Amino acid sequence: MHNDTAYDSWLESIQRNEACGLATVLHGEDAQSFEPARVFLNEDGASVNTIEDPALTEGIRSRIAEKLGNKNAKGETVKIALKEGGVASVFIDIHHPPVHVMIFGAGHDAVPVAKYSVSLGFDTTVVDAREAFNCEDNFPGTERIIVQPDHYRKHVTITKNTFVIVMNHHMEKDSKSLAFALRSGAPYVGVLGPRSRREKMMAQLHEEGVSFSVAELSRMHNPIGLDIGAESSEEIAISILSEIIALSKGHRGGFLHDKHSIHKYPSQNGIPVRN
Amino acid sequence: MGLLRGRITIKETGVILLKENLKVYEAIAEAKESGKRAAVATVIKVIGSSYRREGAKMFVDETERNIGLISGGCLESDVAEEAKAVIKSGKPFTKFYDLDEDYVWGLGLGCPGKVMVYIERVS
Repeated sequence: MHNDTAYDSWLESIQRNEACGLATVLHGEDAQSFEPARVFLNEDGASVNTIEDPALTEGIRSRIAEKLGNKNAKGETVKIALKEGGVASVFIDIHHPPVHVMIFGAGHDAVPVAKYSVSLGFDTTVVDAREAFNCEDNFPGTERIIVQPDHYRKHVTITKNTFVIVMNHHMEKDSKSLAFALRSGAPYVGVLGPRSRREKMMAQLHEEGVSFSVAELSRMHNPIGLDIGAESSEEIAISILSEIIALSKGHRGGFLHDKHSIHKYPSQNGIPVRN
Repeated sequence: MGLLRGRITIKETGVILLKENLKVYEAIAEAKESGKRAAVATVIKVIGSSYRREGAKMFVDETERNIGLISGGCLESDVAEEAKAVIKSGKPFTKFYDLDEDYVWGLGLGCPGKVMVYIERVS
């Protein structure tokens, strides 16, 4: 069988949970060769191509790079003009690494959050030192990390795909979880509880000499969740996970009613406009 | 104080994860390893509404094992037929489906719209 190096790189990159793109030149009916002509590019700029035309390769690579910079980017068939005239039809496939949800706090209200997160297909981690709560029975299908807040740094790994939910129901633990998460690469740090409680925590952290940059704070969401009037812990879980789904896809939430397009969202450079 | 148990790994729970494409990629990797010939059908263009979007994939191997969905169930059997030919010839193939919205919704199939599917051999 053919040697499809770009496709192999695509499969390997997906396995490593990287954001990556694969462009395939679509063969027309009159194609001379069936060998796949592709360009692969990952988030770190590593690239493999099996296209002979360097100008076309470059054109395709810049289109993939553009998409990788936008978390709302989707697969698309594009036309790219050829130097010698005519156009090539190219399908650009985009892989977004799966969302990882990390819940700090294994209380009773974390149970539905973990349950819905697992059923959405998100890799789900629960962090809490209390083994009696943080157990397989309460959180089936999740990874559980039994650790005290002072040892997060050593035992808890947050990546740029990790959506953090802070819900310890304990000021000091929440405060430590929050500080840890805001210092990490997490794109989202949701904090359960009213705004006044969060402000108190931030003031305390400030007094302890811990302060955050604007960029670090921009990932914090509190009160947590979409505004759907959630009251029960099941409803709150839906509200939180709706917010995570929306943000992971560069959407803002809200009603679809009367919208002309369901899947497209006019985000600029992948960042949804915030209030 | 003896509280650091470190990681407890995920146990298999039989939860069906909605990571269709990841299953397709796994199947491709397996086919490559075992030397089985296989094709992948990818939705490359959608006009109008559709259950699955661009990038949705379906895997078909020479034993006619299928994995993944490219529509709400309307196109899979036809695409599997086309994929057999692609596996044999190695020649990629684009097929255009035009599903009438009123007709399809009427049948409760839930996959109207115009969909272009690219089928190619990957192993």
